[in-house]
Amino acid sequence: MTTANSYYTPCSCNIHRLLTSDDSFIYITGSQKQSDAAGKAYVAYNIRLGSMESKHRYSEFESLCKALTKLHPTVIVPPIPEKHSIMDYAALQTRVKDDIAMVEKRKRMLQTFLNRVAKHPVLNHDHVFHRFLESGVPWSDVLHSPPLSIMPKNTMQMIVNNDILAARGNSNHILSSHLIPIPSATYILNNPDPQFEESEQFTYRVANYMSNNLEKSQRKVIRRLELANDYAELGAVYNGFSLNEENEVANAIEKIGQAVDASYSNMGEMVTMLEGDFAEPIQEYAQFAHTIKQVLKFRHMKHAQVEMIETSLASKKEHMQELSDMEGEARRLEEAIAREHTIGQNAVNVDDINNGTVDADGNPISAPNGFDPVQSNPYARPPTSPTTSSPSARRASISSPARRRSRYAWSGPMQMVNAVSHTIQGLIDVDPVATRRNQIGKTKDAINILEEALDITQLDLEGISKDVQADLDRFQTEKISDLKDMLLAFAKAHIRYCQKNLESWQEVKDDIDKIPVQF
Amino acid sequence: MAQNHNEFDEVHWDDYSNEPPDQDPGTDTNEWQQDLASSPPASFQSHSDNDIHHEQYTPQPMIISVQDPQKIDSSFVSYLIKTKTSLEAFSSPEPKPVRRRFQDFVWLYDALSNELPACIIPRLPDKYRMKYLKGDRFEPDFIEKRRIGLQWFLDRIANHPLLQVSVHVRIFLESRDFAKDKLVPNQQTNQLVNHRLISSLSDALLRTFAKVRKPEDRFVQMKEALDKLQDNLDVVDRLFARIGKRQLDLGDDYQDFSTSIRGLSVFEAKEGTSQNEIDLKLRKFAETAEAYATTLAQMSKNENLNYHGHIRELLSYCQAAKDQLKERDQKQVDFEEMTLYLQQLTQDRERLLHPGQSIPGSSLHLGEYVADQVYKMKGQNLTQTRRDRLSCIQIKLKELEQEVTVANDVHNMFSDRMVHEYAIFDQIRVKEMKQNLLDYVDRRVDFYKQGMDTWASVLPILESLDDID
Repeated sequence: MTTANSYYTPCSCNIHRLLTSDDSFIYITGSQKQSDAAGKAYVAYNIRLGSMESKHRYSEFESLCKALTKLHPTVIVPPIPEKHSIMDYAALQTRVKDDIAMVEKRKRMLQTFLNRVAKHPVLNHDHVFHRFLESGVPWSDVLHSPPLSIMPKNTMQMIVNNDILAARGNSNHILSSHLIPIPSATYILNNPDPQFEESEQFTYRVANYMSNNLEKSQRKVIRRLELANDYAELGAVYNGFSLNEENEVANAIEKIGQAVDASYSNMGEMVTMLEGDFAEPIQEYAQFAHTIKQVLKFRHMKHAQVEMIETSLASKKEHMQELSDMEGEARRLEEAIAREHTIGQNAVNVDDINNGTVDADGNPISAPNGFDPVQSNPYARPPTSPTTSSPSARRASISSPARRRSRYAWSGPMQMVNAVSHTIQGLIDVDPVATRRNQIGKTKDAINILEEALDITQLDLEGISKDVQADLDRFQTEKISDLKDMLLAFAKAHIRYCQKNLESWQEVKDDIDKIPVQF
Repeated sequence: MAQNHNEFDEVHWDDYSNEPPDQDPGTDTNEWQQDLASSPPASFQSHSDNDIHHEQYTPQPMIISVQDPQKIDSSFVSYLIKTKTSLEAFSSPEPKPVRRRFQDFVWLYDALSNELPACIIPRLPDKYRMKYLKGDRFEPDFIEKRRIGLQWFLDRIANHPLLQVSVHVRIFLESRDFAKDKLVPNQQTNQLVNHRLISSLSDALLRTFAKVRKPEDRFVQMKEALDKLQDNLDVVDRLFARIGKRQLDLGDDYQDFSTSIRGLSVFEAKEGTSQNEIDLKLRKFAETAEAYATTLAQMSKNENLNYHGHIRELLSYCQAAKDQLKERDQKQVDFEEMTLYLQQLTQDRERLLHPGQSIPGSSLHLGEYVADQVYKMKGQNLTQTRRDRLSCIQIKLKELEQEVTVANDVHNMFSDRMVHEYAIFDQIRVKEMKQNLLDYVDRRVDFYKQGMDTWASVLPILESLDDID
């Protein structure tokens, strides 16, 4: 992990110490029903780390998870159990809030969540996370103090990489400038990173697969509690049966009833084990897939942002070029005039040339939409007519097809609006030279901002890409390790189940053998 | 006049050489007597419910197996029947195997029912449930089910001391020209048993609707015991139907699960390309789940076929036993009703002999009395009429007395036979239950052993899942 987040406040608080100590496992020790200010009931979970105890309800866990996600957009934040999954309704068929099994399941999964966060090399340093674990700290306080309170609205406005922040002093809010574009979700990269492209597609497919397929089918296996109940019934039936028989036959049937009963409890035990050690991790991984999608999307958007800034910068630079060209022209003409000292017939108002109302040879140009062009539209250009053959006009007309494009990109209504506004401006604006100088200044500023932003975002993107890749790798390793644990748990649960049943059924054989048969 | 039923305890089988005059003595009866003579005689004197001599119920060694179903001409299925026995009537201890079809079994059942109506004849499979109506007769599962049912059918015959020595059974088991041999005239071996009331008497009795007047405790108990057994078996049967289906569904679920893991392994193959062959290991896991699914499905199918199937067949056998109890009851009813009729007729005669006197223990036979009065009024020769009627009654009485004797004999024979039959039935069903329970347990034990091995085999692979090369 290269760097921590720019909102990362290093702390050496109690919690940090506890997390790095030997006794760093977080337990959810219990739950209680409580009532909030409005009198509504909720469940509060007791959390213990070492000697530190705190209490939080589900919605606060949810809030923590969201906060961490926002604070660390390059990190794959572990998921919390879903609010209400449809499967829970179907399987348990009881009122969700009150159900003990539901609460137990949440306890397990929330505990797993906290420990995953605690194990994460970046997240475990997060002070917001620390404050969550601290006793006596109401979550609302944490929400309303930095860093959560000072975060920009959109993650695209954040600078993730802390080193950049340090190097540039407090240019944290540069990205909040209106000049900096925020890409839309549908933006397609011109120059995408092939590795990440692949990762994105892959993750998308995995997420789909997980949620459709794996979760469903392994749930069915576990839902065979019904079969276990049948065994319980059969055990009782055999018992009843034995009452109507005699001696050895009765004994044998009774023993079979006991073996079947044992099957029932063994199966119940297996289901419980599978639920905790297998089904829940599978659910987590389905959620993880979704989280990874989000992280990759963030990187993608940052990349998009870089491209958009580049585009914007390029266009501003072009405009700058035009403006300085115009400035240059104006100066040369002034000099020429100064040299001549005459205002001849052929003298034209330089500004008219610049305004586009008169071409370089002094011929008037009609405005394209019939309005009298009083003042110039800085983005407008005289239409290239075969008559304009002067070098400057030619040069001006050759450069910037983009400009032309941008001019023609303005549709009719826009032209009207622009013409109107410029007309008005022209009425007010006494000094076109000053306006131009002003525009040059503004454009220069904009270029500076954009350049700096480009620097920042490009660097940031590098850092983000590295961080995301690193966390993906870390995740993959953790996933394989978890997968191993899950599959081992699955296999062992079955072995245990088979073994215990084997023992109880083998015992029965002796009793059946004892049944006397005359021939 | 009704003879005390206890006196007939003295009767041995051999007494049936005294044929009722109207019946044809057939050689068949003699043969049957000979067969019975060769088996240990029933001794009734020391008989009591709790003191059953096992050797009376022990069949001679005989093992029959039903194997190798073959489709013949696409029109029926034939089964290979192999026999091993020490019975001397057979051509050899291991006669050459024969092939029989279901119709032949039906013939055997009918023949035995005719020959030994006092015995509990085991039912053929598929009489309890008309499974063959649904679906294909040649479907392997159905054929296997039927084969197993036929096996139990022949096992029960082999284990029954009377049935196993039946000539019909021998013909069935070893005849090389079955089509011809089976046409041996229908062996009415026991005239007594198939005795049908002379029509002149039968109309005097409301045969079908009468109930036993003096039910015997031991038979009442037998019926209750059979009812209880049937109830228990029934509950197990229904529960197993549910469990069977659920177990099969569970097998399918594991199969689906295995497929999902395989799908996951495809993703992992992409991702961890450099590493430790995660995809291979996941596939191994998927294979394990699949193997478990297969084992489970197999065990479930076998359990259904054998254990569950046996429960159903045993229910059918219980029903056969109950039906036989009813037959026995019917013989008692016949006897009781005939005895009553005899009493009535006797009183009639008494009244004729001694007109006007009240006969102790008889209700006024109104018809006779009115007829008397009418005759008196008509001034006919009472004496003549009375003599006529008297002689008529005498003849009837004589016939009836013989009939009553026969009915009593039949009743006793059935009753005594029933006691044995019940004991044999119980013995057979305990033997069957024991064998089936053992198989049931063995099947489960094998399944769990295999399950353990299957899952244990994948452990080392999983342990190495996160190994770095």
